[in-house]
Amino acid sequence: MEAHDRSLFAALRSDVRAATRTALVTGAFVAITAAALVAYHLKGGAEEFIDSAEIAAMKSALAADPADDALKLRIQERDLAIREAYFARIERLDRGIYLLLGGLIAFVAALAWAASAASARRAAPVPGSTEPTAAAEARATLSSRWSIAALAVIAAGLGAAWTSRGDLAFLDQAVTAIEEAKAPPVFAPPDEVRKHWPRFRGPDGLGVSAYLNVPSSWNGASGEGILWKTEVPISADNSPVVWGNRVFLSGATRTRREVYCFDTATGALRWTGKVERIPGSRNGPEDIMEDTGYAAPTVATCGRRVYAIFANADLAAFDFDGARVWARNLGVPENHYGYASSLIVYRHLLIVSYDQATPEDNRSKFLALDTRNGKTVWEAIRPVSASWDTPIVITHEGADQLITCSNPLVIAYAPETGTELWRAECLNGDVAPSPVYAGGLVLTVNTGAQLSAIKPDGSGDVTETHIAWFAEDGLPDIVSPAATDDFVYLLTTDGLLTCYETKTGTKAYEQDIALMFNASPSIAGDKLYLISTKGVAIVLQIGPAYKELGRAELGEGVNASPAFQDGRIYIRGKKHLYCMGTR
Amino acid sequence: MRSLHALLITLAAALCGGDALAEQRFPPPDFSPGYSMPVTEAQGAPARDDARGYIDAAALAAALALASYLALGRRSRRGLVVLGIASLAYFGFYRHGCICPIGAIQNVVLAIADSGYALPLTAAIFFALPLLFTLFFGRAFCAAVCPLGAIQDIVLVSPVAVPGWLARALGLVPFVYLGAAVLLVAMGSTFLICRYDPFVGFFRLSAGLDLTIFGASLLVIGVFVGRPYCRFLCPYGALLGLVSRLSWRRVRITPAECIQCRLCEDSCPFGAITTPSPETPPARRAGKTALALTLLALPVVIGLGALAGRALSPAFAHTHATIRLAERVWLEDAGRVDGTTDQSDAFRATGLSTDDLYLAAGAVRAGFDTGTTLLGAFVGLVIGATLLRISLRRKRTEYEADPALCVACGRCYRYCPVEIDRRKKLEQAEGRAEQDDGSA
Amino acid sequence: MADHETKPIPRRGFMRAAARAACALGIGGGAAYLIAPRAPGERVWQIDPAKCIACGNCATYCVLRESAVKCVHSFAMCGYCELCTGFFNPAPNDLTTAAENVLCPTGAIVRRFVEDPYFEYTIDRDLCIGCGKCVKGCTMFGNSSLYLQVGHDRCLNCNQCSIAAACPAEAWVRVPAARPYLWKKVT
Repeated sequence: MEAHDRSLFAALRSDVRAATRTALVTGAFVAITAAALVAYHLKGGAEEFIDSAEIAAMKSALAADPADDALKLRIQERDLAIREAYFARIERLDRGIYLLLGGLIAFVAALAWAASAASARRAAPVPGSTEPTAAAEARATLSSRWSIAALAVIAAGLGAAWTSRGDLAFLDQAVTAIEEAKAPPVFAPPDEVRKHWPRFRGPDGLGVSAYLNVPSSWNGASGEGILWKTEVPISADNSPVVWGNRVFLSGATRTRREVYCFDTATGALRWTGKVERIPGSRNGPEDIMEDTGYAAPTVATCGRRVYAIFANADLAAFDFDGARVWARNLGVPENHYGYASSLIVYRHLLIVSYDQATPEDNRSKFLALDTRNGKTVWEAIRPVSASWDTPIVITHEGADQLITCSNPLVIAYAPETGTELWRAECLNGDVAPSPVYAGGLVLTVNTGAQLSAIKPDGSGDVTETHIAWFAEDGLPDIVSPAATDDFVYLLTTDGLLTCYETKTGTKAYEQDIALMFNASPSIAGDKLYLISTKGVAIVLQIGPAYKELGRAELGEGVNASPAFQDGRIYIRGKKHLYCMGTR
Repeated sequence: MRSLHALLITLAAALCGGDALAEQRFPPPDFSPGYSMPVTEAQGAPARDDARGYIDAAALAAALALASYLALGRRSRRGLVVLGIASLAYFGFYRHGCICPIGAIQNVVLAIADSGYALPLTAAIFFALPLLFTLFFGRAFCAAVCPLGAIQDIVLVSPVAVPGWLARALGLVPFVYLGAAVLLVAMGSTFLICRYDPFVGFFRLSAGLDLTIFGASLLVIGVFVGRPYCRFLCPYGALLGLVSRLSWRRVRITPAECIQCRLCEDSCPFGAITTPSPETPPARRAGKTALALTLLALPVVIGLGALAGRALSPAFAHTHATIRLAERVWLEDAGRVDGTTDQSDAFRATGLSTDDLYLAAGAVRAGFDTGTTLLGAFVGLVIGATLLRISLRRKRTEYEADPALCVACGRCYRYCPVEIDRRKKLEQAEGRAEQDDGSA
Repeated sequence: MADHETKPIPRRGFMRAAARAACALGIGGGAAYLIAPRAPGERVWQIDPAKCIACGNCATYCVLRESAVKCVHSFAMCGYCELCTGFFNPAPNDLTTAAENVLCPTGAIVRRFVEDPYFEYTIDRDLCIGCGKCVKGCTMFGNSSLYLQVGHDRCLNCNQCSIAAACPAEAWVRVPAARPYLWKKVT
C-alpha cells in the first residue's frame, strides 16, 4: 500500500501536464485577484471618509436653512453610510490581499512543481562540449568592457535627461540679489539720469527737456514728423518713460495689470510684464473714477529695472528684459478718485506716495523701498489726506530734499532717511498738480488754495516765514505747473494759461486757449509745449507775452504728459504710443 | 439659539482681535472642588516597546549563525530554504521588513553626518553583524536571513542565465545606488533605500501603486532571472560582495577535490561559478597592454565621473526639501506660478525671511556640489576598478564560486558528484546508526 | 575539507587574513563608536505641535493603514467651552453630537458635561485617525489645547517616515526616545 502511494506521488510529481495546468489555474487566479485589487484600490474611498464633499455641501445647505430637519436626518444617514462603506472597503481589501497572497504561494509552488517535473524528464546535465579557451575568455573580457562602456553611456544619457528637469538658476538669482542688497547700493549718477526720461515729467519731475533739438511740428493724419506709432495693448493715462532704447508704459483693467517695453528704434513691443500672482493682491477697487482708471501712476526706472504701481497697490519691479525681480502689494489705499501718484526713484530708493483717507486718519505715508528687493527702507507717516500728485527731489545748497504735496501740507523730507525737514500749510482740498522747482523756489499749487513760492531753506513749520510770494489767479485742478527761472506757467483743465514771474509772483499775462487739457506742460529750451485732450499740441515762446510758435495735430486724444529725448518726443495717445522725430 | 449666536460673536471678536497664533483665547475654568482634571500624559502617551529591537537583533544573530552552519557546515540546501522561509515570515511579514541591514546603511551614514542623531543599537547591530559574518563565512546573510533575498529565492523557479557581459555591467548599479543613497542621507534629503524598497509594501500588505508594480515586476522577473534586486540593485549586497572577497570560509561547490566533471557548470542561477582557466596559454603581451591602458585610463574615468556628478548636482539637490521649498517660494514671489502650496503657506506662517531660506538653500546646494562630485568620482572609481579586474587574469584550477557573487544558496551542491557521494555515505552512516539504535 | 583549509598559502593567505582582521576591527569599532552616547541617545519621530499646521497628511500618509498619529489633549490649556470649535463645525446647527454639528469624522471626541457652562473633551484613541480636523478648529478659534502626537505604541519609527516626507511644515522631528512626546504646556 505504502509503495503504491509512493509511486502515485512520484508519478504526480513528474507529471508536467498536471503541474503546468495547476500553474496556469493558480496564475490566472493571481492575475484576476491582483487586477481586482488594483481596480478596487484605484476606485478610492478613503478620502471620502475623512473629507466628504457631499457632507460638506449638505452642511452648508443646512447653514442656509437651519431648521431643515429632513436635511439633518439625511446628513446623519449619509455620514453613517460613508463610515460603513469605509470599513467594508477595508475588510474587502484585506480579504483580497490574503487571497492574493495565498494564490501567489500556490502559484509559486505550482511553478516549482512544473519546473522540477520538467527537469526530471530531461536528461542529466551533460558537460558542455566547448572547452574553455583563451580566445573565448578574451572575447568575454572584451564584451564585458563594451557592456560597461554602454552602461556608462546609458547612465550619462539618463542623467542628462534627469538634469534637464530642473536647474537651480532661481537660487543663483536669489543669492545674487541677497548679496547685491548687502553690498553698497549701485545707482546711476545724476548726470546719467538726466540723459534719460526716467519718471513722470522727466529726470527732475519738472517737465523740462535736457535736449533742445526736439521736434515742434507733426501731423497725425499724414504721418509727417512721426517716426512710428504702436498700439498699446491696454490703454491708460500714465505717461511714457524712456531709458536708452526702451520706452516703458503700463496699462491695467480691473483684473489685468501689465507693464510694456517698446523699442525706441522701431516702436515694436519688446515685452509685456504681467503683474499677477502677488501675495495679498486683490482685483479692483470697484469704485474707482473712470477718468483715473486702474493704471494712472506713471512707471519709473533706475536704468536697470522698471517699477510700476497700480490702483490696487500692486507694486512690481521688472528688469530690462521683462523678468519680474520683485513684487508686493501695499494694500489698497482709501482714495476716492483712485490711486494716481507716480513712482519716483532716488538713488537706490523707490519712493512711493501712499497718501490716503483724511489727515485725521493718520494713514497717509511715504514709503522708500530698496529698488533691489522691494523691502521698506523708511516710512514717514503724514498728517494729510489722499493726494494725486507726484513728488520731486530737489537739490538746494548741496542737500537733497523730497518735496511732497497733499492737503493741507507741503512737506520736505531728507530722501535718504525720511526725516522731515520743513513743512508749510498752503494747500487745501484735493491736490493733483505736482510741485516744481525753479529759481531757487518750490512752487506748489492747487485749486482750493493758492500758488505758493516757498524758499526751501527753512526748518519746522515755515508757513509764516518762508513763503516768498503767493498768487491766486488761474489755479489748476489737475495739470501741474511748468517753470523756468523767469516764468511760471499755470494751465487749467479748461484752457486758461496764466504766466507769473518766478522771482516776484507778478502776473505777466493770462490767455484763454479754447481747449481742454489733462497733460502737464513741458519745457524744451525756450519753448513751452501744451497738448490738449483732443491731441492738439501748441508750442509757445517762453517769455513775458503770449506767443504761439505753432500747432500740431495728433488726431488722437491725449491725457498723458509727453517724454522728451534726443531729437524725439514720445506721446501716449488714448490708443497708441507715438514717437515724434525725424530720425 | 440666542446664546449660540452670542457665543459666535464672541468667537468672531476673539478671532479678529487676537493674534492668529495666540493661545489661551478663553480663560481656564474655575471648577468647583469636585472636578479632577484628566492627565494628558496618562491618556495619550503609550510607551514604545523597546524590547522588540533586541529580540530582532538576537533573532538576526541566531539566523546568521544557523545560515552559516547550514551553508558551510551542513551544506544543506533544504535547510537554507526552510530558514529563508522562516526569515521571510519573521523579518519580512511579521516585522514588516523593518529594520533591515540594507536600510541600516543609511542610519550609519546619518549618524556620521548629523551630530544630532545617535545610531540606535539595533541599527548598529543590523548593519555590522551581517558584515562580520560575511567576513568569516561568506554571504550566508543573503542566502537565508534577508527577507528580500528569501522572497526572490522562492520565486526563482525557471532560471535563465544572464550573459556574463550584461551581468558584469548591471553589477555596477548597486554601487551607484549605494553612493546615491549615502549622498542623499548625508545631505538630509531622503532615505532612498527605504523609499524604494520594492518588497516592504508586500511585507506590510499595503503599498503605493507604483512600488507595488515595481516589486511585482521584480518578482515576475525573478521567476526567470535569479534575485534581480540582490544582484543588480541591492547596495548592501555591494558591500557584502566586497567584504566576502576576504572571507575566511566560503562556499565550495565540492566538499573535497574538484574532479573537473563540469556538471555544476550551469547550476548557478546567479552566474557565480567561475570556470578553470584555459589550458592554452593566453597572449600575455596583449593582456599586459590592456592592463596598462586600463591603469592609465583609471584617473580619466574618475575625472569624467566627477564632472558628470557635478553636472547632476542640481538634479540631486531637488531631492532636498529646503531646495524645493526655496524654489516654490521664489516662483511664487516672482509670479511664475499660481497660488500657494501647504509648504509655502507653512513657511510664510513661520515669519522667517526668504533671504534666510535662500541662503540655507544655497548652503545645501554647495553641499550637493561637493557631494555629487565625490559621488561621480566614486562611480568612476568603481567602473575603473571593474575594468581593472576584468583585465587581471588569475589562474584558476577548478570550478569555484566567485566569492563576491555567490549568495550561498547551496543550489550547486546537489550537482556535484563528489557531494552526492559524500551525502550517500553520510546517510548510510546515519541509517546504520539508526539501525544500531533500533537493535539496541 | 579541513585539510584544504590548512594548506599553507603563504603570502596571499596572510594578506587576506590581515585585511579581514582590519575589516572586522573597522566594522566593529565603527559601530561601537557610532553607538557610543555622543548625542542624547536613540531618536524617535514626533510632531512639533508649534510647527504643525494640521494639514491632514498624518491621517493618509502613514505606512500603517490606521495612522500612528493621534490627537492628544492638554486639559490644563482647555477652556472647556460649551461651543468647542475643535468639536463642532464652525457654525453648528445645534450643540448636540449629531453628525451635522460635529467635525470629527470618526466621532473620536467624547464630550462630557462637567458643570455649567463647562464641558470636558477627551479623545478616544481607538477611534482617532489623526486627521487633525479638531486640531485645526481648536487652533484657529480656541486655546489650541488639541494637537497631534505620534503614538509610540503604533509608530514603527521608519527611517523614511512617510508622513515626515509629506509634511509641508517640517513639523516632524526626531526626539530622544527617552522623552518621546512633545507636550504643550500652559504659556
